[in-house]
Amino acid sequence: METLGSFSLSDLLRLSRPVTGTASLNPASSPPLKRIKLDQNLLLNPSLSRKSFTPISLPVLLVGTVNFFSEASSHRTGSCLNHCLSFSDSSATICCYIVDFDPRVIGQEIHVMAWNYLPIKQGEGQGVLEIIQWRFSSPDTAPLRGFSLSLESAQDSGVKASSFAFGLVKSVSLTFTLPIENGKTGEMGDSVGFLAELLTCMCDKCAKMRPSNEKSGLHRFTESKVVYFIRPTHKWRPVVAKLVGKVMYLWGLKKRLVVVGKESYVMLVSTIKTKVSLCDSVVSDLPTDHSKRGAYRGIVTGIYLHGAVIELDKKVWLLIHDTLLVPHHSLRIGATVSVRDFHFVHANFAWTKVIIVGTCVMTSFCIDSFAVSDTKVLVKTEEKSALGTFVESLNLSAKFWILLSVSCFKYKFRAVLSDKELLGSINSAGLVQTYSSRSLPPDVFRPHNSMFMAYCNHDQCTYSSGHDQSKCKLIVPLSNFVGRCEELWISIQSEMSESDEVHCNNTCDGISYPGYRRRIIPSDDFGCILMGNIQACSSSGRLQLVDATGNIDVVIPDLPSDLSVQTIYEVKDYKVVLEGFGIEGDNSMYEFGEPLSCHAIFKRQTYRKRIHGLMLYVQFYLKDSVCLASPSRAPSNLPHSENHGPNHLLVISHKFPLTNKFPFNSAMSICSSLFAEALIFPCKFKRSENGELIQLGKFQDALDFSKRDHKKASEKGPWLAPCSLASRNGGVSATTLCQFNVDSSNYMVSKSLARILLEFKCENFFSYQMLRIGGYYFLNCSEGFNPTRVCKCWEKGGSFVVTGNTLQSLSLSFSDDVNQKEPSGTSSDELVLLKSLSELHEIVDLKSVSQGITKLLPPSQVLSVSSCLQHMFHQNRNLYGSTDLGEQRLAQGDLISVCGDVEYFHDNDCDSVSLTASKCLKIPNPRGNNICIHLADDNQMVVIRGNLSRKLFPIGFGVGASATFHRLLLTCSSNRKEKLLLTPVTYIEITSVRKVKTNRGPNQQMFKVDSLIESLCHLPPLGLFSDLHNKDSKVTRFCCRILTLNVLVLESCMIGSSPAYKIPLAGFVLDDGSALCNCWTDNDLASTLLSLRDICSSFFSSDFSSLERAPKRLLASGLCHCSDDYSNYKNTVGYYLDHILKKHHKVIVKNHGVSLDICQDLLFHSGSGKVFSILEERLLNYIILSSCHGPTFIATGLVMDASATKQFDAYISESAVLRGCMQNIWIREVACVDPLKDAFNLILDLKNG
Amino acid sequence: MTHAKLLAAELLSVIVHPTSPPSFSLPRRCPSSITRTEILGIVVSLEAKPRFLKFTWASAQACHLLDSPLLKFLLDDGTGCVPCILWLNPRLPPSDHDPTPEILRLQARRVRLGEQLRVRGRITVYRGMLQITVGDVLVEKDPNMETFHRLDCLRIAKRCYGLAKDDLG
Repeated sequence: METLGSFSLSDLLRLSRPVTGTASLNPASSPPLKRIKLDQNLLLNPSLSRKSFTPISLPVLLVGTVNFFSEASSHRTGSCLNHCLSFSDSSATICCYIVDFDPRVIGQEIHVMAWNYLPIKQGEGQGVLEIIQWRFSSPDTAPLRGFSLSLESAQDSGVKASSFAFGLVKSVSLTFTLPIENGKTGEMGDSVGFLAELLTCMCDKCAKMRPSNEKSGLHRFTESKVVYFIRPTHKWRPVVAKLVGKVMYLWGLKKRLVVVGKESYVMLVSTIKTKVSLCDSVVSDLPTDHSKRGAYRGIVTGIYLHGAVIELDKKVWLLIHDTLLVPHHSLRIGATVSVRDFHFVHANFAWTKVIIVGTCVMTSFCIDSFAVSDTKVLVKTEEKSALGTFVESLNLSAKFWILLSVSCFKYKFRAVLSDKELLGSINSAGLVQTYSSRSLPPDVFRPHNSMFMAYCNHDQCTYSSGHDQSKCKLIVPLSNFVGRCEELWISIQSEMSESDEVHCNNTCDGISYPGYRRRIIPSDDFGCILMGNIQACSSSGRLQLVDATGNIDVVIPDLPSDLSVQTIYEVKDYKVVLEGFGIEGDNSMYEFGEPLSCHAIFKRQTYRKRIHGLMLYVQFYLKDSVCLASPSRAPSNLPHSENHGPNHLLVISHKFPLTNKFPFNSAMSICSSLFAEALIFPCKFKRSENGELIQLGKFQDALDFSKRDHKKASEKGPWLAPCSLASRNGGVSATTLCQFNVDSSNYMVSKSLARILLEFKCENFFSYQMLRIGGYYFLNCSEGFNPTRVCKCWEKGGSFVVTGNTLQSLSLSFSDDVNQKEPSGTSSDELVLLKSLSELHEIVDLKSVSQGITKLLPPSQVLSVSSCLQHMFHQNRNLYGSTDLGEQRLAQGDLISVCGDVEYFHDNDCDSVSLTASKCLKIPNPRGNNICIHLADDNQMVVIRGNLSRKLFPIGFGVGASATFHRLLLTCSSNRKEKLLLTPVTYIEITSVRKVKTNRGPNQQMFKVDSLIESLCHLPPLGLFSDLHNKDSKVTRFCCRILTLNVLVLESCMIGSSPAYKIPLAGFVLDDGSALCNCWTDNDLASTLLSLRDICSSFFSSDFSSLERAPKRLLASGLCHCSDDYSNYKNTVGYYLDHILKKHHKVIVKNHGVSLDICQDLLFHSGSGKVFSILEERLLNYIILSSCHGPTFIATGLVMDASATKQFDAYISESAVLRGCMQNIWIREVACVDPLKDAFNLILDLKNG
Repeated sequence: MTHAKLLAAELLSVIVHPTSPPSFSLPRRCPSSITRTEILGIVVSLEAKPRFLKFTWASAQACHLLDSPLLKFLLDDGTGCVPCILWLNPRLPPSDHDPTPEILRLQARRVRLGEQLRVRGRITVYRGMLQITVGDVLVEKDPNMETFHRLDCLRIAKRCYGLAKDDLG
């Protein structure tokens, strides 16, 4: 038989490890008790986890006494006071919690049959025993005793306590401390205790304290009484809290008037003589209104923020009212808990909806079963901070939001901000509190009462059941935001696949490429706020919003030069752009698990970008964002530029893009640089003591003006031009001594300007991003100012390493700016990524100087697509080509800049020209692809080819982007065709992006062979007119078009009572590409060929004024009558023909013209001998001209022999003979071309023949 | 007099004879002389000279007298790009009974960037460049028409001009 071991508590405390034990490993056996020693392995083996319960392999039994903690107990905490009983044996005392609690256990020795032990604080000898199964050690006597609580030691004292109570326990408050003043003696002190609300019966027997035990139905528990259990009875709270819903007797109470503030309450107060006993014979349910406060039982699935937020069943969020209630030692993930009397809120936040359950002073909270996996015991360690007080002053939903925000802030800024900066301290508010108090609407704050007041006035509690908190947005961790965006992208792909948009591919050179998709999503659709530092990525050079969780590419059109990279920005108003090619394959492989759910935020789930084909970036304006406090530990900004040397005014002429050499491994980026080219103006500025900028130096060259319209001709030499300049550091004014070197076209000669290369190390990539080609900047030269010495920057080919604040953007206003688009972005379909330079250049008037500066560069520096095509056409091709350079050939040509809209782009690996170019220009091609970009404006399109890695695409590059390509190579290919090529120095600037539209014709279908073969019927092969002379008389099909008319005979007739027309004969000249042929037909077929049944609205609704009047004039002349029967018919050409024939009876039209291009020689004969009006002639001309411009059709006809054609000789004029139409056919059938069927037919024909 | 159905590459490779007006012949074909052609392709470039905003009869008359309003576009059929010229003014002075200006206007409206067009016209030379002086313009909505046109060109080249299989490529 197995030996049952006995553990002492000191053994357990020594373990300092979560263990679980049971008295019987075999339920049927009952082994003898024997004290055992702890296994040394269990004590010393470090491999045993402290994070899970270690089962003791032997059956063990704990024997001890359950009681209240004495006041002198050393480890009495708030939690223990509220929930815990003590379990002690001869060796030690620890906290205990019993699942199947029986109040009679108090003061009794029990055998614990199944238990968990958890150390609370390692090394401090504290722990909690979770008693799962127990029994009285003397089973014969214990159950016979009734439950009763009293302070036996004080029963004989002389305290008068005559009041009593009998009733149903409705609720029990937490233990709290209240400063009190004795009304009689005036003594001050602290009162520790808890309140219990009893519903008492008002019957006579109860009033006399002789309640009837026999029939519980006689009692009606309706009258509420509050009993205040003060010291020393306050330690009964763990037991009284378990008696909610049970009927009990209370003796030895005193009736007291308690005054709190202005309110006074009559209540029963406990004394040392107070005795509590349970009345098991009277059973009553709690009244129904009580149940309105709700009861919920669930499994704990998450505990966050030191137990302030508890997730139940992964759907309900339990907010603990006061941290005094927790930490409950047994509140761990996996435990089953019951909550009664709580507040319940459906909160609609901007990004999600949640169910919040909030506890209050009356809430009863108990553990129904213990967690078996989680061993983390919550310990209350922190003092109540200013943030804690602030949180408690909010309503439930706002409280939940701020707790979530605390989690987000800590998660996002743990690397740059300390806990004190984020959360504040006891007296000072941290970033979270200042931010929240600013963001929250005033109606979420509620008055904060003491626990006593809150309990007594609980019925006036103002919690409402639903909260619309759409103003509360999630301060989203960026990694979760990226996850959400990718989740959206996958759902967009799925939607598009379902709506068949996936087939909308683009073609280039006959090859189909997958469709490009872009979605622009406004911030309101996310319900999130972005927050982070703005930095330039050291590996990609791109601007990013960064927090500790991740980063996201950003585009800021109003990027200033004095942006601090340490500052945290709050961005509420933004737009997210998702773009890329369609993902092929199964989308279900991507599982995201709701990145924006509260669970993911609290749990700090991390996401990383997984979909490689997706370009994801955020656009926002800095003016719409809020600058939050800079972290104190961040280094301060670099010393102000005033300490630096002279300021140069420069214009950026080019920015060199990242190249394929650029390391994508961030670890290597330190040695990399980015470059820009600038022209320095021949003048020097210096900041004066009061911050003004003064121009000091003269221009280098004294040159003549060719134009001096604004100056008197007699004046010569340098002239003084007042100007004012403005930098973002404030307006500055200066007097500038300006003299410009102008050529005959009044453009400043740029040769006289120094060209300088600006180098940006990785820590200053931000400055590179801020630069704009064509923008004006001040450069603070590091050299000290010396009026006699020429600065190094002037040296031709010099370079300058940009650091810190050496570059400041300058605002200039130019009235005659060219090539600038109107400010756009108002359209919902278009998103501005770069402001135009004219928008950046604001306020300052630089009249005299600007005349020179604006014309520094040629006006058409950036070509539109149309002008680029013109340029290509007019260039002398001989200048282009390639030059032999040793063994390799170097492409030659002009560097030009072109702007336009990217219509499409795709990989183009087979293009020989671009391959040659990349080879010639020595472009390393480790990752680069040959791509083909279709750039268009309203009318024209050019194709740009070259080598560009997808990783080097600027943000926003894609279909629908408005782009400017700087320094494209215009060269000539071997077949003397002009080509535009990307070069390693080509810089692509994206101005704006549009939503990608999916244009798809309603009737277009792609060539599908399968369906074609199915639908193929055996058609006779198509014939040719040129073969007719070889053929026998047989029916042949021809694919042809009408070239001109030989003759047309029209006659009037009557169909019923309505006038109508008939066509006895129509003769056309048909052309099938091989030869011409006379063809003859009549009536219906002729009518079809003449399109007489077609609606002629396109003709009559034209803006040609006389034709608009045509129907009216026809009406007026009696040719026309209105009839409802003809509502459709009267819009056709045939309708008007009817009325012409009514007048003329018969009309014969003959063509005497030789030319095929115009029908000017038509002769009209009237059967009635009447004269044709202008309109009538016009209509007949229109009919014939229209038929000559008709579509290709399949005519089935029979070759006519000479005798048959003789009857038509009268109609064939000499001119027709001159045209060489010798063959005649009679048309039997006319049909539209079915390109699919007929093409397949042609393939067979070509194959066979 | 027929409109030879050609691919752009064939058309651009015709031999121009320096007669007045210049005459054209197709290499390796018999009969080789052509004056007119029909091609089918996509408009990849469009230019109006002068700017063609709203064509009214009044402006047409004015243009006829003062300027030469024309629509210049490039038709790409995958084998090459053919410059096309569509004159918007009638060749003869317009009369009241002549609807030619409206027909031209309707045709001009059909010429849009990206549109698949079937164009018939005369082959001309302008500044040494081959082009089509457009007679009529037809919009082909069905993309399969391009395949059909190519096959038709092959068929006519083979049957009518007796090209060998090798020549057809």
